[in-house]
Amino acid sequence: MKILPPTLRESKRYIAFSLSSEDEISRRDLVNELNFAGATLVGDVGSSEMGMRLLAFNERRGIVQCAANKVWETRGVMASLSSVKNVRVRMKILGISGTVRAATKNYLLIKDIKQVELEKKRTAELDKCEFFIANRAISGKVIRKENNEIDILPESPQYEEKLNNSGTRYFGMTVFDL
Amino acid sequence: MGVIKQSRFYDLNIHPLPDCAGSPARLVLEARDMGYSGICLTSFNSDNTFFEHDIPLPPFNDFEIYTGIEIQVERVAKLTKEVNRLRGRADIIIIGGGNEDINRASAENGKVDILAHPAAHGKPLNHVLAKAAADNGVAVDFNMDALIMQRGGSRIKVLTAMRQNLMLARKYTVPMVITSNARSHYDLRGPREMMALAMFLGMTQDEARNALSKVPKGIIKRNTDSNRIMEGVEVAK
Repeated sequence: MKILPPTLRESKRYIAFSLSSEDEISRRDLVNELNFAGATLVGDVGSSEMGMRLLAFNERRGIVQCAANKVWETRGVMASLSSVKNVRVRMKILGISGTVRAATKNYLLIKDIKQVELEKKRTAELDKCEFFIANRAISGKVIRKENNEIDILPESPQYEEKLNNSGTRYFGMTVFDL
Repeated sequence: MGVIKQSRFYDLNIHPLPDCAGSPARLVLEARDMGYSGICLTSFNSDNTFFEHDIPLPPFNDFEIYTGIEIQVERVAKLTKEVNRLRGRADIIIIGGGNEDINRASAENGKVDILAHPAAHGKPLNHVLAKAAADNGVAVDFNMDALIMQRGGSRIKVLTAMRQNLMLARKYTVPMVITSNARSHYDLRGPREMMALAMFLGMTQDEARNALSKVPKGIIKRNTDSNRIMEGVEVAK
């Protein structure tokens, strides 16, 4: 069968995104959740018009394809994603391009440059940390450390309620709070 | 898209750690990373209020941090009392609405800056409240966490109410703000994502952009300008 000539194909856009999550997310779960988010927010008709497809995904970053005239809707659907299989996630859209190559080159291959320099080089390689927030000490187990960001699991049970309220598993901290 | 690139975006309702899960420094870093020009850290409890010098971060030239209080009360008499007590303490006073009496009391109180999540229980504002809010300069908040966190019936209710609020806000030119009402850094969304979500409510792109940039900027300026004495009275130089 002959493929459709380029002039007759629908025009597309490629959205590069990064994903921060509490735990590792598999590609299949993310696709399911994106489709579900689209179906609940804009319905089947809207989803079909958007033509959203997850092209590449490597646990942290990826590319979503969508119709060129439905970029804002696709953004909205991607933003309405809050959790995948009870793991909190957040999608940050890095940029939009007309080709996969440009999206990859301009948004995905750039190194993660955190503009805040580590002026105080404090190491948090310990298993346990103590933080001071508003003159209150919070101590807990370090779950993950990445650049300046630290996720901790607080020890004392009084914080459990706060975690439940916020719908997260860990407290988000930075090395500056140490 | 040049207009969006030039705008400075603000998110005026973000809850940091003593109440919720996310240290102020983390929220500031994440918000800055997403493209905001400033945020307002609001606490529920007035004893937990943060000030910029409390946050252990190197100073940023291009990022503004404001402090706010979200007052959550049940009774109207207490609301007035709390507003008068806390007005001088924080930059921005936000009322956690939803209840019809509280919505009305805050729309009629000129000292209130923002009426947050007025449609939380799925009940929209009415023409009387919209008119009062416009007269007193109280901004009506469209909280996007309702769209992000909820699914199904409850989201439909909130969306319907928000649509009604938008219609009233347009008719009576009530200032509109879009906030994330974030309780952790997973709830934060970039300015354009917030605009995209707001456009699902029927806002135009310009309205959404103003609700994230121009209106919050006006609220901040009104509260931090030392030359301003009260509504319509300013020290001229």
